[in-house]
Amino acid sequence: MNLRERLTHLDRRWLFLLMGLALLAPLLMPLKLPFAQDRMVQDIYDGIEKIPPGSTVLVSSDFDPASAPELYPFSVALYQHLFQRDIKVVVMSLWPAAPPLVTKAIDEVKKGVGGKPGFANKQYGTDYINLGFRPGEILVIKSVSDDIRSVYSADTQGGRLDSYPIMNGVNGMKDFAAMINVSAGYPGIKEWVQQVQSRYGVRMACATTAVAALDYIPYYKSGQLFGLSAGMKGSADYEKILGVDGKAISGLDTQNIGHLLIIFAIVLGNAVYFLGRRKP
Amino acid sequence: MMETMGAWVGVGLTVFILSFLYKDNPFYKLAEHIYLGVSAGYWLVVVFHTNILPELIMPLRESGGDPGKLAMALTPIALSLLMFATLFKKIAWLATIPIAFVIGAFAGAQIIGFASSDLIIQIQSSMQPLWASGQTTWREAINNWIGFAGLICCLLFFFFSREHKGALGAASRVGMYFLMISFGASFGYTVMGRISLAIGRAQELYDYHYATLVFTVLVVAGVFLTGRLRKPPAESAEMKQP
Repeated sequence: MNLRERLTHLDRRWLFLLMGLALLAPLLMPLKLPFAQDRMVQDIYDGIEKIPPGSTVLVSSDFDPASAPELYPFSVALYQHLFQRDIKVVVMSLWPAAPPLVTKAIDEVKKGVGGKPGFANKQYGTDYINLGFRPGEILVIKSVSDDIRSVYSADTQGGRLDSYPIMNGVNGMKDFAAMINVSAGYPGIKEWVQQVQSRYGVRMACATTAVAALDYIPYYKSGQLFGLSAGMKGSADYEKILGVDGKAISGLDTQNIGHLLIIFAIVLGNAVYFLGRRKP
Repeated sequence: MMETMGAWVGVGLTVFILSFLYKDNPFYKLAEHIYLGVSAGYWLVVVFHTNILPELIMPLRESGGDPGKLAMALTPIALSLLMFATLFKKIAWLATIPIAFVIGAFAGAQIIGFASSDLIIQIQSSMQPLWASGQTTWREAINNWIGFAGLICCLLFFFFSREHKGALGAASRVGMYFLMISFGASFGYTVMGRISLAIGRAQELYDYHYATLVFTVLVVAGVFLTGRLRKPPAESAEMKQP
Protein backbone atom coordinates (compact mmCIF):
# COMPACT_ATOMS: atom_id res chain seq x y z
CA MET A 1 0.00 0.00 0.00
CA ASN A 2 1.60 3.30 -1.09
CA LEU A 3 1.28 6.67 0.68
CA ARG A 4 -1.71 7.83 -1.39
CA GLU A 5 -3.65 4.65 -0.66
CA ARG A 6 -2.77 4.91 3.01
CA LEU A 7 -4.03 8.48 3.11
CA THR A 8 -7.20 7.49 1.25
CA HIS A 9 -7.99 4.89 3.89
CA LEU A 10 -6.72 6.92 6.84
CA ASP A 11 -8.77 6.29 9.98
CA ARG A 12 -10.49 9.62 10.72
CA ARG A 13 -9.67 9.18 14.41
CA TRP A 14 -6.12 10.25 13.58
CA LEU A 15 -7.54 13.59 12.48
CA PHE A 16 -9.52 13.85 15.74
CA LEU A 17 -6.29 13.19 17.67
CA LEU A 18 -4.40 15.79 15.63
CA MET A 19 -7.16 18.34 16.22
CA GLY A 20 -7.13 17.56 19.94
CA LEU A 21 -3.38 18.17 20.07
CA ALA A 22 -3.77 21.35 17.99
CA LEU A 23 -6.31 22.62 20.51
CA LEU A 24 -4.28 21.75 23.59
CA ALA A 25 -0.79 22.76 22.41
CA PRO A 26 -1.40 26.55 22.32
CA LEU A 27 -2.92 26.35 25.79
CA LEU A 28 0.30 24.78 27.08
CA MET A 29 2.57 27.10 25.08
CA PRO A 30 0.75 30.37 24.25
CA LEU A 31 2.01 31.83 20.97
CA LYS A 32 0.32 35.25 21.32
CA LEU A 33 -0.18 35.45 17.55
CA PRO A 34 -1.25 38.91 16.34
CA PHE A 35 -4.73 39.45 14.97
CA ALA A 36 -6.38 42.20 12.95
CA GLN A 37 -9.21 44.16 14.53
CA ASP A 38 -12.72 43.99 13.10
CA ARG A 39 -14.41 47.31 12.21
CA MET A 40 -17.82 45.98 13.31
CA VAL A 41 -16.57 45.40 16.89
CA GLN A 42 -14.81 48.77 17.01
CA ASP A 43 -18.22 50.27 16.17
CA ILE A 44 -19.76 48.61 19.24
CA TYR A 45 -17.07 50.20 21.39
CA ASP A 46 -17.48 53.62 19.75
CA GLY A 47 -21.27 53.41 20.05
CA ILE A 48 -21.11 52.66 23.77
CA GLU A 49 -18.57 55.44 24.28
CA LYS A 50 -21.17 57.87 22.90
CA ILE A 51 -23.77 56.91 25.54
CA PRO A 52 -23.76 59.50 28.33
CA PRO A 53 -22.81 58.21 31.82
CA GLY A 54 -25.84 57.61 34.03
CA SER A 55 -27.98 56.40 31.10
CA THR A 56 -29.67 53.02 31.19
CA VAL A 57 -28.97 50.28 28.63
CA LEU A 58 -30.99 47.12 28.03
CA VAL A 59 -28.97 43.93 27.53
CA SER A 60 -30.80 40.82 26.36
CA SER A 61 -28.65 37.81 27.15
CA ASP A 62 -29.97 35.11 24.84
CA PHE A 63 -27.49 32.26 24.98
CA ASP A 64 -26.75 29.16 27.01
CA PRO A 65 -23.70 27.16 28.17
CA ALA A 66 -23.43 25.48 24.73
CA SER A 67 -22.45 28.79 23.11
CA ALA A 68 -20.70 30.23 26.17
CA PRO A 69 -17.13 29.83 24.78
CA GLU A 70 -18.01 32.34 22.05
CA LEU A 71 -20.38 34.70 23.85
CA TYR A 72 -19.51 34.59 27.55
CA PRO A 73 -16.18 36.46 27.05
CA PHE A 74 -18.12 39.13 25.13
CA SER A 75 -20.63 39.42 27.98
CA VAL A 76 -17.83 39.90 30.50
CA ALA A 77 -16.16 42.55 28.32
CA LEU A 78 -19.52 44.27 27.73
CA TYR A 79 -20.34 44.59 31.46
CA GLN A 80 -16.75 45.76 32.03
CA HIS A 81 -17.21 48.49 29.42
CA LEU A 82 -20.67 49.55 30.65
CA PHE A 83 -19.54 49.73 34.30
CA GLN A 84 -16.40 51.59 33.23
CA ARG A 85 -18.63 54.19 31.52
CA ASP A 86 -20.92 54.34 34.58
CA ILE A 87 -23.89 53.18 32.51
CA LYS A 88 -26.78 51.42 34.27
CA VAL A 89 -27.55 47.93 33.00
CA VAL A 90 -30.91 46.16 32.85
CA VAL A 91 -30.44 42.53 31.79
CA MET A 92 -33.18 40.20 30.57
CA SER A 93 -33.19 36.79 28.87
CA LEU A 94 -35.24 34.97 26.29
CA TRP A 95 -33.22 31.79 26.87
CA PRO A 96 -33.87 29.83 30.09
CA ALA A 97 -30.24 28.91 30.80
CA ALA A 98 -28.93 32.47 30.44
CA PRO A 99 -29.67 34.15 33.83
CA PRO A 100 -27.04 32.16 35.82
CA LEU A 101 -24.43 33.11 33.18
CA VAL A 102 -25.40 36.78 33.56
CA THR A 103 -24.94 36.63 37.33
CA LYS A 104 -21.59 34.86 36.90
CA ALA A 105 -20.31 37.39 34.35
CA ILE A 106 -21.32 40.44 36.42
CA ASP A 107 -19.84 38.94 39.61
CA GLU A 108 -16.60 38.30 37.71
CA VAL A 109 -16.47 41.92 36.48
CA LYS A 110 -17.18 43.23 39.98
CA LYS A 111 -14.19 41.24 41.27
CA GLY A 112 -11.98 42.39 38.38
CA VAL A 113 -11.08 40.59 35.14
CA GLY A 114 -8.03 40.34 32.90
CA GLY A 115 -5.82 42.63 34.97
CA LYS A 116 -8.49 45.34 35.30
CA PRO A 117 -9.66 46.66 38.68
CA GLY A 118 -13.06 45.44 39.85
CA PHE A 119 -16.30 47.33 40.42
CA ALA A 120 -17.12 46.36 44.00
CA ASN A 121 -19.03 49.62 44.39
CA LYS A 122 -21.67 48.65 41.81
CA GLN A 123 -24.90 47.87 43.62
CA TYR A 124 -27.57 45.41 42.54
CA GLY A 125 -30.83 47.26 41.94
CA THR A 126 -29.10 50.62 41.65
CA ASP A 127 -26.43 50.14 38.98
CA TYR A 128 -27.61 46.89 37.43
CA ILE A 129 -30.45 44.39 37.62
CA ASN A 130 -31.02 40.86 36.31
CA LEU A 131 -34.68 40.46 35.35
CA GLY A 132 -34.25 36.81 34.35
CA PHE A 133 -35.96 34.62 31.78
CA ARG A 134 -39.51 34.87 30.46
CA PRO A 135 -40.98 32.43 27.92
CA GLY A 136 -42.94 33.78 24.97
CA GLU A 137 -40.17 34.69 22.53
CA ILE A 138 -41.25 37.55 20.21
CA LEU A 139 -44.34 38.28 22.29
CA VAL A 140 -42.04 38.98 25.25
CA ILE A 141 -39.90 41.28 23.09
CA LYS A 142 -42.96 43.19 21.94
CA SER A 143 -44.46 43.45 25.42
CA VAL A 144 -41.16 44.53 27.02
CA SER A 145 -40.84 47.26 24.40
CA ASP A 146 -44.25 48.71 25.27
CA ASP A 147 -44.41 48.08 29.01
CA ILE A 148 -41.64 46.17 30.77
CA ARG A 149 -43.81 45.55 33.85
CA SER A 150 -46.42 43.70 31.80
CA VAL A 151 -43.89 40.87 31.44
CA TYR A 152 -41.60 41.33 34.43
CA SER A 153 -43.44 41.92 37.70
CA ALA A 154 -40.34 40.79 39.60
CA ASP A 155 -36.61 40.19 39.01
CA THR A 156 -34.59 36.98 39.53
CA GLN A 157 -34.44 37.67 43.27
CA GLY A 158 -38.22 37.93 43.55
CA GLY A 159 -38.29 41.67 44.31
CA ARG A 160 -40.90 43.90 42.67
CA LEU A 161 -39.39 46.09 39.94
CA ASP A 162 -40.65 49.30 41.55
CA SER A 163 -38.61 48.54 44.67
CA TYR A 164 -35.34 49.02 42.73
CA PRO A 165 -34.02 52.57 42.07
CA ILE A 166 -32.64 51.54 38.65
CA MET A 167 -36.19 50.91 37.41
CA ASN A 168 -37.47 54.39 38.33
CA GLY A 169 -38.76 55.94 35.14
CA VAL A 170 -37.91 52.86 33.08
CA ASN A 171 -41.13 51.62 31.50
CA GLY A 172 -40.36 50.58 27.94
CA MET A 173 -37.90 50.70 25.09
CA LYS A 174 -38.02 54.50 24.76
CA ASP A 175 -36.37 54.78 28.20
CA PHE A 176 -33.19 52.95 27.17
CA ALA A 177 -30.24 54.74 25.59
CA ALA A 178 -29.38 51.58 23.63
CA MET A 179 -30.17 47.90 23.40
CA ILE A 180 -27.47 45.25 23.20
CA ASN A 181 -28.32 41.66 22.31
CA VAL A 182 -25.92 38.82 23.06
CA SER A 183 -27.54 36.04 21.07
CA ALA A 184 -26.84 32.46 20.03
CA GLY A 185 -29.89 31.96 17.81
CA TYR A 186 -33.67 31.99 18.03
CA PRO A 187 -35.12 34.01 19.66
CA GLY A 188 -32.42 36.60 19.27
CA ILE A 189 -31.05 39.27 16.96
CA LYS A 190 -33.49 38.84 14.08
CA GLU A 191 -36.47 39.05 16.41
CA TRP A 192 -35.07 42.05 18.31
CA VAL A 193 -34.36 43.89 15.06
CA GLN A 194 -37.81 43.09 13.66
CA GLN A 195 -39.80 43.89 16.79
CA VAL A 196 -37.78 46.67 18.38
CA GLN A 197 -35.22 48.33 16.12
CA SER A 198 -37.47 48.76 13.09
CA ARG A 199 -40.44 49.98 15.19
CA TYR A 200 -38.83 52.16 17.82
CA GLY A 201 -35.61 53.12 16.04
CA VAL A 202 -33.61 52.10 19.11
CA ARG A 203 -29.81 52.12 18.78
CA MET A 204 -28.93 48.46 18.77
CA ALA A 205 -25.72 46.39 18.75
CA CYS A 206 -25.30 42.64 18.86
CA ALA A 207 -22.90 39.81 19.56
CA THR A 208 -23.57 36.43 18.02
CA THR A 209 -21.98 33.07 17.31
CA ALA A 210 -19.72 32.73 14.27
CA VAL A 211 -22.18 30.30 12.64
CA ALA A 212 -24.98 32.87 12.70
CA ALA A 213 -22.93 36.01 11.98
CA LEU A 214 -23.37 35.97 8.21
CA ASP A 215 -27.16 36.23 8.58
CA TYR A 216 -26.89 39.47 10.58
CA ILE A 217 -24.20 41.34 8.64
CA PRO A 218 -26.91 42.86 6.35
CA TYR A 219 -28.46 44.47 9.46
CA TYR A 220 -25.09 46.06 10.26
CA LYS A 221 -24.53 47.18 6.67
CA SER A 222 -27.99 48.78 6.53
CA GLY A 223 -27.33 50.66 9.78
CA GLN A 224 -29.97 48.78 11.77
CA LEU A 225 -27.16 47.65 14.09
CA PHE A 226 -24.46 50.08 15.11
CA GLY A 227 -22.05 47.21 15.76
CA LEU A 228 -21.75 43.45 15.48
CA SER A 229 -19.43 40.95 17.14
CA ALA A 230 -19.02 37.54 15.50
CA GLY A 231 -17.96 34.55 17.57
CA MET A 232 -14.84 34.19 19.66
CA LYS A 233 -12.89 36.47 17.29
CA GLY A 234 -15.36 39.30 17.93
CA SER A 235 -15.10 38.75 21.68
CA ALA A 236 -11.28 38.81 21.42
CA ASP A 237 -11.45 42.08 19.46
CA TYR A 238 -13.61 43.65 22.15
CA GLU A 239 -11.27 42.43 24.90
CA LYS A 240 -8.32 43.86 22.97
CA ILE A 241 -9.99 47.27 22.56
CA LEU A 242 -10.79 47.37 26.28
CA GLY A 243 -7.31 46.16 27.23
CA VAL A 244 -8.70 43.11 29.01
CA ASP A 245 -6.53 39.99 28.89
CA GLY A 246 -9.54 37.67 28.71
CA LYS A 247 -10.47 34.14 27.70
CA ALA A 248 -11.27 34.99 24.08
CA ILE A 249 -7.80 36.42 23.40
CA SER A 250 -6.16 33.34 24.90
CA GLY A 251 -8.43 31.15 22.75
CA LEU A 252 -7.46 32.84 19.49
CA ASP A 253 -4.07 31.10 19.32
CA THR A 254 -5.89 27.80 19.47
CA GLN A 255 -8.36 29.03 16.87
CA ASN A 256 -5.55 29.94 14.46
CA ILE A 257 -3.79 26.59 14.86
CA GLY A 258 -7.09 24.73 14.48
CA HIS A 259 -7.89 26.63 11.28
CA LEU A 260 -4.43 25.91 9.85
CA LEU A 261 -4.92 22.21 10.54
CA ILE A 262 -8.32 22.22 8.83
CA ILE A 263 -6.91 24.07 5.80
CA PHE A 264 -4.07 21.53 5.65
CA ALA A 265 -6.56 18.63 5.88
CA ILE A 266 -8.78 20.11 3.12
CA VAL A 267 -5.79 20.68 0.79
CA LEU A 268 -4.36 17.23 1.51
CA GLY A 269 -7.75 15.54 1.08
CA ASN A 270 -8.29 17.22 -2.28
CA ALA A 271 -4.75 16.47 -3.44
CA VAL A 272 -5.16 12.77 -2.58
CA TYR A 273 -8.56 12.70 -4.32
CA PHE A 274 -7.29 14.29 -7.54
CA LEU A 275 -4.18 12.10 -7.59
CA GLY A 276 -6.49 9.09 -7.27
CA ARG A 277 -8.62 10.29 -10.20
CA ARG A 278 -5.63 10.52 -12.50
CA LYS A 279 -4.84 6.83 -12.04
CA PRO A 280 -6.45 4.68 -14.76
CA MET B 1 -16.11 23.36 47.38
CA MET B 2 -19.25 23.35 45.22
CA GLU B 3 -17.34 25.09 42.42
CA THR B 4 -14.62 22.43 42.49
CA MET B 5 -17.19 19.66 42.50
CA GLY B 6 -18.99 21.32 39.59
CA ALA B 7 -15.71 21.56 37.67
CA TRP B 8 -14.94 17.87 38.26
CA VAL B 9 -18.42 16.88 37.10
CA GLY B 10 -18.04 19.13 34.03
CA VAL B 11 -14.62 17.73 33.15
CA GLY B 12 -15.77 14.15 33.73
CA LEU B 13 -18.80 14.53 31.48
CA THR B 14 -16.69 16.27 28.81
CA VAL B 15 -14.18 13.38 28.77
CA PHE B 16 -17.06 10.88 28.67
CA ILE B 17 -18.64 12.65 25.67
CA LEU B 18 -15.30 13.04 23.84
CA SER B 19 -14.64 9.29 24.28
CA PHE B 20 -17.25 8.77 21.53
CA LEU B 21 -14.68 10.03 19.03
CA TYR B 22 -12.79 6.78 19.63
CA LYS B 23 -15.88 4.56 19.64
CA ASP B 24 -19.30 4.19 21.22
CA ASN B 25 -18.95 3.12 24.85
CA PRO B 26 -20.87 2.99 28.18
CA PHE B 27 -19.25 6.23 29.46
CA TYR B 28 -20.58 8.14 26.48
CA LYS B 29 -24.02 6.58 26.92
CA LEU B 30 -24.03 7.55 30.62
CA ALA B 31 -23.14 11.19 29.84
CA GLU B 32 -25.72 11.31 27.05
CA HIS B 33 -28.50 10.07 29.35
CA ILE B 34 -27.49 12.44 32.15
CA TYR B 35 -27.54 15.34 29.69
CA LEU B 36 -31.03 14.47 28.44
CA GLY B 37 -32.40 13.95 31.95
CA VAL B 38 -30.90 17.15 33.37
CA SER B 39 -32.07 19.20 30.38
CA ALA B 40 -35.63 17.92 30.71
CA GLY B 41 -35.62 18.49 34.48
CA TYR B 42 -34.16 22.00 34.15
CA TRP B 43 -36.75 22.95 31.53
CA LEU B 44 -39.60 21.61 33.67
CA VAL B 45 -38.52 23.64 36.71
CA VAL B 46 -37.85 26.80 34.69
CA VAL B 47 -41.15 26.63 32.83
CA PHE B 48 -43.05 26.00 36.08
CA HIS B 49 -41.48 28.97 37.88
CA THR B 50 -41.45 31.42 34.98
CA ASN B 51 -44.62 30.48 33.15
CA ILE B 52 -47.10 28.18 34.89
CA LEU B 53 -46.80 29.77 38.35
CA PRO B 54 -46.80 33.50 37.44
CA GLU B 55 -48.98 33.33 34.32
CA LEU B 56 -51.53 30.64 35.23
CA ILE B 57 -51.71 29.97 38.97
CA MET B 58 -50.97 33.42 40.44
CA PRO B 59 -53.52 35.35 38.32
CA LEU B 60 -56.15 32.79 39.35
CA ARG B 61 -55.26 33.21 43.02
CA GLU B 62 -55.14 37.02 42.76
CA SER B 63 -58.44 37.33 40.85
CA GLY B 64 -60.33 37.63 44.15
CA GLY B 65 -63.62 36.59 42.61
CA ASP B 66 -63.68 39.52 40.15
CA PRO B 67 -65.44 38.06 37.05
CA GLY B 68 -63.26 40.03 34.61
CA LYS B 69 -59.98 38.99 36.21
CA LEU B 70 -61.26 35.43 36.62
CA ALA B 71 -62.10 35.23 32.91
CA MET B 72 -58.63 36.58 32.02
CA ALA B 73 -57.04 33.94 34.29
CA LEU B 74 -59.20 31.05 33.13
CA THR B 75 -58.82 31.68 29.37
CA PRO B 76 -55.12 30.70 29.16
CA ILE B 77 -55.76 27.73 31.45
CA ALA B 78 -58.60 26.54 29.19
CA LEU B 79 -56.42 27.02 26.07
CA SER B 80 -53.56 25.12 27.73
CA LEU B 81 -55.86 22.24 28.67
CA LEU B 82 -57.19 22.08 25.12
CA MET B 83 -53.65 21.30 23.90
CA PHE B 84 -53.96 17.94 25.71
CA ALA B 85 -57.00 17.06 23.60
CA THR B 86 -54.60 15.56 21.03
CA LEU B 87 -54.21 12.64 23.46
CA PHE B 88 -57.87 11.67 22.91
CA LYS B 89 -58.86 10.72 19.38
CA LYS B 90 -62.53 11.82 19.59
CA ILE B 91 -61.80 15.37 20.74
CA ALA B 92 -58.34 15.78 19.18
CA TRP B 93 -59.70 18.54 16.88
CA LEU B 94 -60.11 20.81 19.92
CA ALA B 95 -56.31 21.21 20.05
CA THR B 96 -56.49 23.20 16.82
CA ILE B 97 -58.08 26.12 18.75
CA PRO B 98 -55.02 26.99 20.93
CA ILE B 99 -52.70 26.19 18.00
CA ALA B 100 -54.63 28.64 15.80
CA PHE B 101 -54.44 31.21 18.59
CA VAL B 102 -50.64 30.84 18.87
CA ILE B 103 -50.10 30.93 15.09
CA GLY B 104 -52.36 33.97 14.73
CA ALA B 105 -50.65 35.87 17.54
CA PHE B 106 -47.13 35.11 16.26
CA ALA B 107 -47.97 35.85 12.63
CA GLY B 108 -49.63 39.14 13.59
CA ALA B 109 -46.68 40.19 15.70
CA GLN B 110 -44.10 39.20 13.11
CA ILE B 111 -45.49 40.37 9.77
CA ILE B 112 -45.02 44.12 10.28
CA GLY B 113 -41.55 43.77 11.82
CA PHE B 114 -40.40 41.41 9.09
CA ALA B 115 -41.74 43.56 6.25
CA SER B 116 -40.08 46.62 7.69
CA SER B 117 -36.67 45.30 8.80
CA ASP B 118 -36.04 42.46 6.33
CA LEU B 119 -37.72 43.82 3.23
CA ILE B 120 -38.07 47.60 3.02
CA ILE B 121 -34.91 48.60 4.92
CA GLN B 122 -32.84 45.92 3.15
CA ILE B 123 -34.06 47.09 -0.29
CA GLN B 124 -33.28 50.67 0.73
CA SER B 125 -29.77 49.74 1.87
CA SER B 126 -29.08 47.88 -1.40
CA MET B 127 -29.61 51.14 -3.31
CA GLN B 128 -26.13 52.59 -3.09
CA PRO B 129 -24.46 55.29 -5.25
CA LEU B 130 -22.57 53.69 -8.13
CA TRP B 131 -20.42 56.71 -9.00
CA ALA B 132 -17.81 58.49 -6.91
CA SER B 133 -19.16 61.88 -6.03
CA GLY B 134 -19.40 63.95 -2.88
CA GLN B 135 -19.36 61.54 0.06
CA THR B 136 -18.73 58.38 -2.01
CA THR B 137 -15.12 57.47 -2.79
CA TRP B 138 -14.07 55.43 -5.85
CA ARG B 139 -13.27 52.46 -3.63
CA GLU B 140 -16.79 52.53 -2.17
CA ALA B 141 -18.26 52.96 -5.65
CA ILE B 142 -16.43 49.84 -6.90
CA ASN B 143 -17.65 47.97 -3.84
CA ASN B 144 -21.20 49.15 -4.56
CA TRP B 145 -20.91 47.94 -8.17
CA ILE B 146 -19.89 44.48 -6.96
CA GLY B 147 -22.81 44.45 -4.53
CA PHE B 148 -25.21 45.65 -7.24
CA ALA B 149 -24.01 43.06 -9.79
CA GLY B 150 -24.11 40.30 -7.16
CA LEU B 151 -27.66 41.20 -6.14
CA ILE B 152 -29.00 41.25 -9.73
CA CYS B 153 -27.19 38.06 -10.76
CA CYS B 154 -28.30 36.16 -7.62
CA LEU B 155 -31.91 37.21 -8.20
CA LEU B 156 -31.65 36.06 -11.84
CA PHE B 157 -30.32 32.68 -10.66
CA PHE B 158 -33.68 32.19 -8.91
CA PHE B 159 -35.69 33.35 -11.96
CA PHE B 160 -37.22 30.19 -13.37
CA SER B 161 -39.74 31.49 -15.94
CA ARG B 162 -37.18 31.28 -18.75
CA GLU B 163 -34.52 28.73 -19.59
CA HIS B 164 -31.09 29.84 -18.35
CA LYS B 165 -29.49 30.34 -21.78
CA GLY B 166 -27.60 33.19 -23.44
CA ALA B 167 -27.36 36.42 -21.41
CA LEU B 168 -29.71 35.09 -18.72
CA GLY B 169 -27.60 31.91 -18.46
CA ALA B 170 -24.37 33.89 -18.13
CA ALA B 171 -25.86 36.20 -15.49
CA SER B 172 -27.33 33.33 -13.49
CA ARG B 173 -23.95 31.56 -13.65
CA VAL B 174 -22.28 34.66 -12.20
CA GLY B 175 -25.05 34.66 -9.56
CA MET B 176 -24.20 31.06 -8.75
CA TYR B 177 -20.54 32.04 -8.19
CA PHE B 178 -21.64 34.80 -5.84
CA LEU B 179 -23.79 32.30 -3.96
CA MET B 180 -20.92 29.81 -3.77
CA ILE B 181 -18.65 32.50 -2.32
CA SER B 182 -21.38 33.23 0.23
CA PHE B 183 -21.67 29.52 1.11
CA GLY B 184 -17.89 29.35 1.46
CA ALA B 185 -17.93 32.29 3.87
CA SER B 186 -20.77 30.64 5.76
CA PHE B 187 -18.80 27.37 5.99
CA GLY B 188 -15.73 29.27 7.21
CA TYR B 189 -17.77 30.93 9.95
CA THR B 190 -19.26 27.53 10.86
CA VAL B 191 -15.80 25.97 11.20
CA MET B 192 -14.73 28.94 13.33
CA GLY B 193 -17.79 28.52 15.55
CA ARG B 194 -17.30 24.78 16.03
CA ILE B 195 -13.62 25.21 16.87
CA SER B 196 -14.56 27.92 19.38
CA LEU B 197 -16.83 25.45 21.14
CA ALA B 198 -14.04 22.87 21.21
CA ILE B 199 -11.67 25.55 22.58
CA GLY B 200 -14.13 26.26 25.40
CA ARG B 201 -14.01 22.61 26.44
CA ALA B 202 -10.23 22.41 25.92
CA GLN B 203 -9.74 25.44 28.20
CA GLU B 204 -11.80 23.78 30.93
CA LEU B 205 -9.91 20.49 30.52
CA TYR B 206 -6.64 22.43 30.77
CA ASP B 207 -7.74 24.52 33.77
CA TYR B 208 -8.68 21.36 35.72
CA HIS B 209 -5.94 19.11 34.32
CA TYR B 210 -5.85 16.86 37.41
CA ALA B 211 -9.51 15.98 36.89
CA THR B 212 -8.83 15.56 33.15
CA LEU B 213 -6.03 13.09 33.81
CA VAL B 214 -8.08 11.09 36.33
CA PHE B 215 -11.10 10.82 34.03
CA THR B 216 -9.01 10.10 30.92
CA VAL B 217 -7.29 7.18 32.68
CA LEU B 218 -10.68 5.99 33.94
CA VAL B 219 -12.28 6.13 30.49
CA VAL B 220 -9.31 4.51 28.70
CA ALA B 221 -9.24 1.67 31.23
CA GLY B 222 -13.02 1.35 31.11
CA VAL B 223 -13.22 1.28 27.31
CA PHE B 224 -10.38 -1.30 27.19
CA LEU B 225 -12.02 -3.52 29.81
CA THR B 226 -15.53 -3.32 28.35
CA GLY B 227 -14.01 -4.18 24.96
CA ARG B 228 -12.33 -7.26 26.43
CA LEU B 229 -15.38 -8.38 28.43
CA ARG B 230 -17.81 -8.02 25.54
CA LYS B 231 -18.40 -11.34 23.81
CA PRO B 232 -17.16 -11.45 20.23
CA PRO B 233 -20.09 -11.38 17.76
CA ALA B 234 -21.22 -14.80 16.56
CA GLU B 235 -19.95 -15.63 13.12
CA SER B 236 -22.64 -15.25 10.50
CA ALA B 237 -23.61 -18.08 8.20
CA GLU B 238 -21.99 -16.28 5.26
CA MET B 239 -18.67 -15.96 7.05
CA LYS B 240 -18.66 -19.65 7.95
CA GLN B 241 -18.89 -20.66 4.32
CA PRO B 242 -15.53 -21.33 2.74
